Amino acid sequence: MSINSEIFNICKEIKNIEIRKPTRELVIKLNRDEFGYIARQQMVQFLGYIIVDMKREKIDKGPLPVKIDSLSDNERDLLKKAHCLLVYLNEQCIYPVKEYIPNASYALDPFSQFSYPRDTFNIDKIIKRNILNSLISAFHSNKLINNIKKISNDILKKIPSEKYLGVTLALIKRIEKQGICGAPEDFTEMMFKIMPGSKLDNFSKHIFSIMGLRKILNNINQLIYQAFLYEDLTELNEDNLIKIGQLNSNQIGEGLTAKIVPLGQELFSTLGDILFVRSDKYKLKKYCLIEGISTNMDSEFGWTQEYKLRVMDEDLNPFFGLVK
Amino acid sequence: MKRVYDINGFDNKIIMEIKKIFTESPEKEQWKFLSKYIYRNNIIKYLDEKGIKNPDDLLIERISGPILQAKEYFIASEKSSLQISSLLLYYGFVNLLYGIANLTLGTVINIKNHGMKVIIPPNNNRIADIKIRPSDPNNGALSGFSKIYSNNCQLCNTGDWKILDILGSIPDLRKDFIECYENEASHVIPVEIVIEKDSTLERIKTIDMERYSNNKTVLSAIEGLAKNYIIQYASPQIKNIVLRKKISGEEIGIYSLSGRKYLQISHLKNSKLLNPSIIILMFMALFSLGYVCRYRPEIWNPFVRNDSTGERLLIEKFLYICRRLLPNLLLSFLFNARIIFVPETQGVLDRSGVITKQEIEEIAHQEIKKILNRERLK
Repeated sequence: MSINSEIFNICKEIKNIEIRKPTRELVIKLNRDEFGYIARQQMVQFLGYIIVDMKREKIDKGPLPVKIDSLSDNERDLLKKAHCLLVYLNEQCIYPVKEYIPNASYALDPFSQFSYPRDTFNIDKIIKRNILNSLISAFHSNKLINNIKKISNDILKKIPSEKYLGVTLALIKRIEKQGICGAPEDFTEMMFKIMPGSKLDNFSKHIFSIMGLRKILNNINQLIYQAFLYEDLTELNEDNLIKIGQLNSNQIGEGLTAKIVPLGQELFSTLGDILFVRSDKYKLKKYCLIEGISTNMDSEFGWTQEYKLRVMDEDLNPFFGLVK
Repeated sequence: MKRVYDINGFDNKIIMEIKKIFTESPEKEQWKFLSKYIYRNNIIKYLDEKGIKNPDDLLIERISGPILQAKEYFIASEKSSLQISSLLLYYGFVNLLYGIANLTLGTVINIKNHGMKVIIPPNNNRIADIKIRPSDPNNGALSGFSKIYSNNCQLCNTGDWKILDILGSIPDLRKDFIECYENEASHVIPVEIVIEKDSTLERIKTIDMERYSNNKTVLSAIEGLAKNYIIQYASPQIKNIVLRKKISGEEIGIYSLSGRKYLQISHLKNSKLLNPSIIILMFMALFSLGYVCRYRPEIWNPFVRNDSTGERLLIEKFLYICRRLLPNLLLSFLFNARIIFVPETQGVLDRSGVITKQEIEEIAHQEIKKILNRERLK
């Protein structure tokens, strides 16, 4: 039972829930102007739109002449319901870590760095919660959760939540800044020099596990968000691929570059989206996270898109190289 | 040698490399190569390399004789007027195809007749409207040669083929075809190859699609296009039709004598899409022109003497292209490479533009040194 297989079952169910259609129409409408642009930059799915709505007056007064229209109550309500679904799922997934080492669980929550009123909502009104149980179990069975439990000790339990979050975010940011084709130099050095089984080794595995779990949760959220918006997962395959770079393996995981001719849904891809890459010629079948995308709309030579992709393992972890 | 995929008349799956041969006179040079196989020893050596030992005299003479006669017919055709040049060229063609077929098969091919009939429409106005009807799939030359030179393209029972269809399928003739037949669309589309830093694309200019009523229908009739290429159709955002090869796709197309690439639109005959090779198409057209010249002088003579439409010029150019192209195509067939005759200088390899990694590092170091020195002086 992998997180991958369970999440796709849930995505199929999402297509049948009542709020999907109006939420989808709302997000498409908002994505037509600056509202959607700023919301998507936050890379936190429906919360991005909620945050922009909350802060619209501040944005209006900012250096750029951007006017953000207020959402109606009905629209706010739709976004909140969709967001609450993700929050419920995250909370259930994080539960074992929260029980065991509460201060670390704060760092796992993909929405923890945002300050916003936390609404409560009974998600049974939009989806049967038992549908989510298999995914939650798969998350609980993940080896990274076992790592956290195995390695945790009294010292770690005393580290403040904000520090946990700060370190996690800082390390993730460094990895993303380095790009898909390599690891930050000190990561590589550290991984080669640290003695296996030493305290430093245990601590690094602990932190890497938290980073991995946070990214897995974010990717689960992203796939559910994409299931709201799209009929199918965007796929790069032999019908649109014109070039594919070498699969780059490094200490973090794997990276891949690809160039396509965008003929359909791929045109709407953005940073943080998840897609599937399939090529029989290069023996590739990988779920990937978009970490870089550029679209060239050349009227003379046709449109192309170039992707920088971070490969995920079967549990949606893009940092699978860090903890083996 | 540059590696390309080329279906310039033969088995679609043959991968052909380009072989450049230096010459100032391609027509003479190609015959020098072909004339090798007039000589017994060269024939025996060629067959021996293919594993055919001790060929009999009949086979040797049915290789040597036809190639020698073909050469004579080609020369005679070039020196004759349009009154008889098409007939001479047809005889040259059929002899050359026969001789080379016997050489490559290592056995005498079974041919008892031309394998075609000519149908003259009533009230015929143009030479282009004359039709050819393939016949006799077992013993006819057309079917026999089609097996060897056109991937066994089955032409019998496909209906009638107009000379117009064939003239419109010759890349080198496209410009003249369009000028001569104002309302007709050709069966070849020119393609521009654009080489970028990290990829190559091909594009079809919108102006070259003007004579077709539906671009998508036309492109769907190009064999292998949808399978091997991603197509971006012209739109308000994209000026021309852009083709990019899929990562697992193979290149398709044929090349003119000038090296320009063309895509071939298949012919719809009796609900089937057919794409005979240029060799076979030229063979069919030459047969019909030779037939009309020989057996229907009441059509041919007035055409040669009095044509005022410009069609005569087109036919003359067609004959020139046949004389130049067929020996070249057959050499490519024999050598399994795309033979190009070029006037380039040989024996010179220019590496002055090549820059090594070390040179780049040195340049970078020097620039960094300059920047640091400037900073120190501030």
